[in-house]
Amino acid sequence: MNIESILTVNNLKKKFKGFVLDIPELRIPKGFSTALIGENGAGKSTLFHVISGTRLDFTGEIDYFQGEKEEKKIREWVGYTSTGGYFMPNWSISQVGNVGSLLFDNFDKERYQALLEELAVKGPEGKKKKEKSISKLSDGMRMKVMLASVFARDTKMLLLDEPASPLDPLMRDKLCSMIREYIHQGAGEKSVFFSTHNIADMENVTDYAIIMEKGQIVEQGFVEELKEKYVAVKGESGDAGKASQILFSFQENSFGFEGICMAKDLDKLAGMDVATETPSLSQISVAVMKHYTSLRS
Amino acid sequence: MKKYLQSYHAFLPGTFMRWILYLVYPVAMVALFFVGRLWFEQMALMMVVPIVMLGAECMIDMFVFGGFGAKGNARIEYMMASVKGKGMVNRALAVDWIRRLLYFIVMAAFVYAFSYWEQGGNLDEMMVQLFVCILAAATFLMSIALWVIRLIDNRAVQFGALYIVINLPAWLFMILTKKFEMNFKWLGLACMVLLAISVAGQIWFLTKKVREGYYDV
Repeated sequence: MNIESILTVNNLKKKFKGFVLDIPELRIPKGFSTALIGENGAGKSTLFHVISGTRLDFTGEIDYFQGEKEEKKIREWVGYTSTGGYFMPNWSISQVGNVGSLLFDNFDKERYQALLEELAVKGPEGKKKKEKSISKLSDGMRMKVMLASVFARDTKMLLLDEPASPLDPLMRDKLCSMIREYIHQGAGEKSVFFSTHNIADMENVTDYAIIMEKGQIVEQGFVEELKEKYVAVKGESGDAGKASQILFSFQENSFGFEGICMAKDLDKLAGMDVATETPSLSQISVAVMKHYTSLRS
Repeated sequence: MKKYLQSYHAFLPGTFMRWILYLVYPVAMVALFFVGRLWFEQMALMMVVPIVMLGAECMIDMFVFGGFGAKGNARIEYMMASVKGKGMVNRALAVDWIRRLLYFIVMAAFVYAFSYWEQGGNLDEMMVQLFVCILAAATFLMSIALWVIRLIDNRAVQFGALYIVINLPAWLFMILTKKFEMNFKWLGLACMVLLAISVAGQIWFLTKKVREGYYDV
């Protein structure tokens, strides 16, 4: 299947405080929602900083929107949210909208206000309350304002760094709906690239997954392909010793063992009393991250 | 012009600050002048108004650009993600100083014009030189205080800097004129030159901080 890429990264390297981001090649498929999964400190935010243009100290090439070179267009078409110092602390929610209009030509103030109401950040215009400054908002509210500010723009790619982390379960579900609607409205032209360290919350909106560990990409693929590549296995205690040598990730419990096995190694479990099932993306991610962490420790 | 003002207003914390900046503050300074004339002699009042303005400007700046140049604070990713972010900061810093200097010049012109009218056109040249000297010195010292306010993200330190510069003009003035018998005219001129260097340096330094935000090393 020949899928177009909305973003291509080649030979990307960035050194930062003893950490090295080293990505020989990365392609984000166009028209899909891609999840960048990794534990804390894997380099997800560092990669997003580089792609968003908020960090310039790196080597390598980044190709946006199939060869677009004009910096202004690229920045207008990318909607980025981060986990760090995103807004000025003394800005009010309305000021964020005013500043958005100054910074981005495609910022729709009316849409921004509507999103703030939809996300329950502020009430309808008829019920005016004194606005809090950004610094006085909770992490969840601040993320909602960030999301409102990017969804209020006419973009082609959303770059969302840990958008679900500070949100409550209801809002996470809402976020997933917003992402699905964004991609659907784009009719194949819009893409979402988000990072998370807990894919379970965003699995139902993930089409393509990239797993990162210690600054490197260790696994990637469409979710359906990954679910064919890996198999969840459960077995009896008696087979634990032999299974631990075969399984990609292995864990013993009071009932026996469970883990993830590569589909190509399934035949090595012949003769053992095991049950197999399709793993979730969360199970695959944890297994892959555990596997690569143990190799490097 | 509109873009410049919009960039500046983006840094003002709320609509109330615009009311304070454009209405309350200028009206208060004019009121201070007229009310002050009831209690202070002309010379003392000429010294008080610039120093009060110096204090007010420092206080206002604590809530606008206070701590902006401190480590990491200029890294506002909403602005950095746009090609217009750096330009917006440059315009805001420039408009901030233009507004400030304009306020000082207009207030000085007002005080001078009123005093001239009140004295029937017979203003003591020494008094005029003294007034210009105080004004230039106060503005220069304020620019030094703003270096501290903008580079240190600590309210106690910022207030400390404010306290020092409010008290400094009187002490420096007495030392320089009484002990060293410095000429008011040259002192005022020196302060204006130093002010220009300080303002230009500050704008350059803060925009450099914004550029540095794009690099982790």
